[in-house]
Amino acid sequence: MARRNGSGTSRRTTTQSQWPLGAVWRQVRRTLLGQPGMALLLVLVTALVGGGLGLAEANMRQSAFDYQSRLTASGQYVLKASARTETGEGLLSAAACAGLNWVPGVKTATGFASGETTYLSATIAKAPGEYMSVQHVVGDFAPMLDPSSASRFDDGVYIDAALAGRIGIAEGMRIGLTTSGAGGEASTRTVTAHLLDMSARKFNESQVLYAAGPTTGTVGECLVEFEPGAYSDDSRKMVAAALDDGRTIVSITPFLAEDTNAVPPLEQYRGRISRWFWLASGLVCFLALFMPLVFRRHEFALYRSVGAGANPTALIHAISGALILLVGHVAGFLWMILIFAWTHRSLPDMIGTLAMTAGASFCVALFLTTIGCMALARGNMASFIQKRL
Amino acid sequence: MPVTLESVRFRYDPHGPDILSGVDLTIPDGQMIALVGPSGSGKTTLLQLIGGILKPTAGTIRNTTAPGDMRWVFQTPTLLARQSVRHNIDIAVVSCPWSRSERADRVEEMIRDVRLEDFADMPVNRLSGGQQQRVQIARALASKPPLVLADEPTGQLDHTTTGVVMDAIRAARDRGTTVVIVTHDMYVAGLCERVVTLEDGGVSGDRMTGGMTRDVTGNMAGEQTDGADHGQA
Repeated sequence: MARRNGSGTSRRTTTQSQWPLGAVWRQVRRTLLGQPGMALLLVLVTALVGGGLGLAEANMRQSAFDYQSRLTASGQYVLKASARTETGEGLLSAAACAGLNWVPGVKTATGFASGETTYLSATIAKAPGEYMSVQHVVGDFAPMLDPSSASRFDDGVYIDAALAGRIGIAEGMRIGLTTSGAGGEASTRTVTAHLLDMSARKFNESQVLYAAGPTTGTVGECLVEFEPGAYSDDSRKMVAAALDDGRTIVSITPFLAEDTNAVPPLEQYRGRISRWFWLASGLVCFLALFMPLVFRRHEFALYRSVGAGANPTALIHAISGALILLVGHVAGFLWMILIFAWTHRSLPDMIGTLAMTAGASFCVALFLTTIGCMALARGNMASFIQKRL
Repeated sequence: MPVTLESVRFRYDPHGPDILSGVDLTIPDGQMIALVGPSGSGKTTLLQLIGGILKPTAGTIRNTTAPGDMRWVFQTPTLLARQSVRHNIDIAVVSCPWSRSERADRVEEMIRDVRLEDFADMPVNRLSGGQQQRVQIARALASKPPLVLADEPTGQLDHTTTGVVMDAIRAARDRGTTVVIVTHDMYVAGLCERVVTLEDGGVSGDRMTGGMTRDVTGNMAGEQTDGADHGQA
């Protein structure tokens, strides 16, 4: 049936049918195999860009997490409650402090005995000339002294690992310990040495040996560490309420001195520029793939001029691009994992996140490429023909 | 249905001169017609009007061939450069309502018609300009289109290759394809059965040639005639 348009010309609808998907796929293969060098180059570019930016994002995330971990290890979520007499004797109930270990949200609570009555100077037979002291502690003290340690309630003394290494003491070694109190009386006994890395919270700055003390009596300081999610402005009130005996003024301060110049970890994490790298990667991959297509846009018109519809024409180039993007992003993801493992000596904990970054980049590039191919395929065929006449 | 132009006028600039003025032309189905004339006479413009690329400023054009069914042949070959001769021709028959074997046979037939059997699997960007033009023509004719519009299809070809190309075009004409060729080459025009001469935007001559033929030795034979009856369906 002829149709008359408004300019005095009559036309009939085409007799030709649409391209089947098999023909589209055949043409995709021919397009890619016709220029293998360019296809490989684009895969390489996609892999480098996608993998590189993904690696940068992984590193920045890891850096933020490591910073948070360091702060946590240093005692970011630790409160210090202290109350002493003028002579330094502790006024906080040791039992109340130790009891905080069973409060929901509290990771560990440790009481430190203080005062002349509790001070013990010490020497170790293996290390003559090294003068130390023994500090009695209550509660779950091992994770407090060494954040990487599990709870430990062994008998004996706990020594900083670096100090122990210097004086030749190994974990579990039986050592002769001589202590003397304020009254000057000395006693010698054999105890088991346990090692902890006390550097994180600087419990190793003085040559102190830690030993479990009785929960009866008092302590001068009670350190309470909260789980990160449980730490809030109300934590102080909770500690104060737990240690309040009705007559003692308890000072509660953060264990870790605040560094006003440091960016809080959460802000550092949220403000990292790499959180947009998935978008940047997708855009760069799209441009690398699409710009050559723009210079070859005559091919779109050529397909149209031999009877291919706009959709099959767009599909040929969109599917070709999709395959390049897929292979490139998979390759980029894999080398991103390898490089991270090589530089950090461990696999990234966030492989799933890296996969999502690569996946998001792929989706952005694929979406833009598809839109671009659809636009080129619907270009003005008349204009194309005119330019060639 | 023939292609009919009635009192067609065309100008690119609304305030400019007429490129074509008062062109009346009827092209019956299955006719092979050459448009000749000096440069600037409007030959390519007329071709674009017939093909629907341009719309007439005045007058009527009746062309019942759908744009998707028309095939164009350009002076400069436009091909998928890194794909083979066979693949470049194959894309023209993909949407034809034939079986797979029919499409394959047709592609091979066109390769034979343009004498490119030895180059069928070679990427077209490695062919000479004349060979590429043969591929373009084979692609244009492969789908047995009802109308072929060619602008200087033999402009870059030597005499022998021109003969090969014109043989393929005439074979298509014999199957019922209407062919309109813009050419400066009077040898090519002589191979067409009708020659329309354009001059100063109008038709100054329209004659039937009877169509030159080639005998078995490849020499041209036949007689030219002036026909009063030119283009009546």
